Amino acid sequence: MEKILEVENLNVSFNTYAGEVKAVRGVSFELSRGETLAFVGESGCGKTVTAKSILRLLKPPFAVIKPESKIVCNGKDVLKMNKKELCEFRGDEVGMIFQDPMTSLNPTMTVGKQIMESLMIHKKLDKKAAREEAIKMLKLVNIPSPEKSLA
Amino acid sequence: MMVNHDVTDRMENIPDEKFTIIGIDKDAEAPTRPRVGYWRDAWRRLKENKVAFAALIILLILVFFIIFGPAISGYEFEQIDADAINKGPSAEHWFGTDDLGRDLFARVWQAGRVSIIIGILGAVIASVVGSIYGGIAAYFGGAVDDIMMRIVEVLLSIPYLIIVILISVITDSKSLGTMLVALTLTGWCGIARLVRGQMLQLKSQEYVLAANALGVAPIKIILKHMIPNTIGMIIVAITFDIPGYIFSEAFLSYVGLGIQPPSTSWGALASAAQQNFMFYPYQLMFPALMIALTMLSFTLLGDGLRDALDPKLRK
Amino acid sequence: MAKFIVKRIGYMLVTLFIVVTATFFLMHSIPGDPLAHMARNLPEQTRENYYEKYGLDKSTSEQYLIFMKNLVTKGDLGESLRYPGREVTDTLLTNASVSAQPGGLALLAGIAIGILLGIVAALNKNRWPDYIVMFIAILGITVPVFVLASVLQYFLSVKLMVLPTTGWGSWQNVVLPVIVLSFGTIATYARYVKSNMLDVMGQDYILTAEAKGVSKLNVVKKHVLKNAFLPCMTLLVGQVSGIFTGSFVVEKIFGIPGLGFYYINSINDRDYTMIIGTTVFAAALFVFVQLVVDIAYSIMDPRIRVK
Repeated sequence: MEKILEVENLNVSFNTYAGEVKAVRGVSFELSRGETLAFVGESGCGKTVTAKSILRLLKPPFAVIKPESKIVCNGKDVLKMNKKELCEFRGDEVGMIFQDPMTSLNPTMTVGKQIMESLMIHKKLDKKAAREEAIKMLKLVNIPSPEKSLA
Repeated sequence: MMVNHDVTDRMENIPDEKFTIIGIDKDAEAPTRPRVGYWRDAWRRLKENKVAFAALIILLILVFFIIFGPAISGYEFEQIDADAINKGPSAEHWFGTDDLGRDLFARVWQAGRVSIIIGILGAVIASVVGSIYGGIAAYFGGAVDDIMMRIVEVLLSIPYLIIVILISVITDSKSLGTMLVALTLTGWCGIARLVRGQMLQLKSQEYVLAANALGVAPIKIILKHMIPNTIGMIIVAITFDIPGYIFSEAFLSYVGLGIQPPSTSWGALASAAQQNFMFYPYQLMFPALMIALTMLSFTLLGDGLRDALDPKLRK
Repeated sequence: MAKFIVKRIGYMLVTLFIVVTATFFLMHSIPGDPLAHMARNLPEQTRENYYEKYGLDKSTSEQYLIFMKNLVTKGDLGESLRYPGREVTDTLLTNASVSAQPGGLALLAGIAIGILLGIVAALNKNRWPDYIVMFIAILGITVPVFVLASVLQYFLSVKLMVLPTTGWGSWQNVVLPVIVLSFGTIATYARYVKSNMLDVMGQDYILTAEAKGVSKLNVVKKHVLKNAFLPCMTLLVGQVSGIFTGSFVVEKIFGIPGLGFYYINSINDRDYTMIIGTTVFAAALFVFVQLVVDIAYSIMDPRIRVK
């Protein structure tokens, strides 16, 4: 089976005023094509931090992925990617859905436009095609009159 | 190759062999920090903020001079000396003298008393009145809240300067009291809105709901949950308002509607020094410097306080 | 939406009504004779004529009704008490157009430069551009208008002789007042925009956008800027007010024959009709600006409209 994600010895620390807080200590796992991997744990055990690390969404200097960590996705070393590669990587090869829908979307922008944004960046669609695709998506999840909401 | 999982598999049906316990790392330190109270933590954060702390120190120094300055100088602020007119700063007169030969060092600190008192009193009075008003509006809600807030809205649309000038003209008195009344007349509206907004937001917070559900009496909820969370904001608002009042007083005195001689304030000093600015710039510089320094310090302190008291920023 | 606008206009009219009425009655409650300084040495008949001319022989309520009628139907605010023959309304309009020049320019320049500096500061947090901007901002907020005006006048007009000290008529007279008046606005907007941008950049939805692969530049352009600018509209009212009061001082120092200048004079002259007139005018201006801001804000932020 093709391994699409390999995480080895992931160590993530936060630099707080009280010292270094080791949020993730030596986590390793693999994910193969077609598999579903679930992280289950109490609040604060490091699930979200681990997930964010895969997309390198944690911000230095506050949060640091230690150098002994290794993250390889689809054969690419995530930790060595430059900004451009990261932008192409995020949202295309790896997508992330956040916990709180009320705050995870821009409140002054319609949902449709935010869907279109992704499509135009990664699928290189033009505005019209993106709009149609977005409407299709909204219909798929039974959002009523998506054409109007997109306005 | 696709791995098939029957989506109707339930937790209980997953056989035990599929789970392997890998154990707990008992030696690891718990990833926590020491528990500190809200006020203690806020004080610590304020101290760390070097800028705000420096501002606090500057203010304390200013207050010291305001209280003891005139005494230190050795002159009375009204003392006229015809031989020492318009002299620059020297060993005898640290800030120089004005056109009546009065020592400016003593006058500046004497003036400071008036300016700072107006600033602090004005801000505090307006805030207290505003907080109570806003609290009542939030507590009762509904129609009471609506009416009270409409009044505030109307009052807020009236440019406060106009009111201040009007009152000064009408009462034709330029005493401290009149000024305070004029300045605070619409000043309390801003705080009322802030407090009411905050209280309304708190009312619907989950921990208030939780307290309610646990059977805590409403008055206790108000005292233990809502007020402590609002006080921080009120303190910050007061700190930010003070420079505004000081400036308003200075401005009014500058246009001639404020403190009249022989009492003096920083604004009055600046106004008097205005005509001679080209020849004796120091006469304007010192009061202006004090005004700027005070306003600056309060603003920076307010910034620091706001960051320190914001519970969401606890790291 | 239309309902919202109508409601807001309603508030505006109510407020204006209250201000005008209150001002009128307050002014008329001042003890003493408004024409005292003039009427002292005049023969009895002339005195009576003057009183009749200004309607001072009637009761206050009657005067009020006449005043309101003139105001609403003709926009007529009466004549100056100090300078008979001078129409208040005309004088106000002339003075206002003078004040509006440095005032308006200062407002525009202040907002534009302020926003720009704020963006620079936010994107360069804790690096030297941030510190420079913050320093300028601090100066703008704490240095009183009259000090700034005096200092600039001293250095640029007297010492360097680059610009005229006082007077009105050419574009050079406008430069210093605009600089002085815009400082406060620049400072306020810079701080506010920086703070808002930092707030917005810390929001969850920015993280989502990043997770989707939107580049930093586009994140700022499409998500941050709009949300950070919106609240800046509310500052507008305060800034207009600030520039208005600042112009009192600036006009006095630079000898500009504007609203502020004449307002102060009329206060010292006890020219009651002028005082009432200017007050009404200023109040109308503020209330109008507030109205415009409210409406514009509701257009830009779809959340407000739902209320």
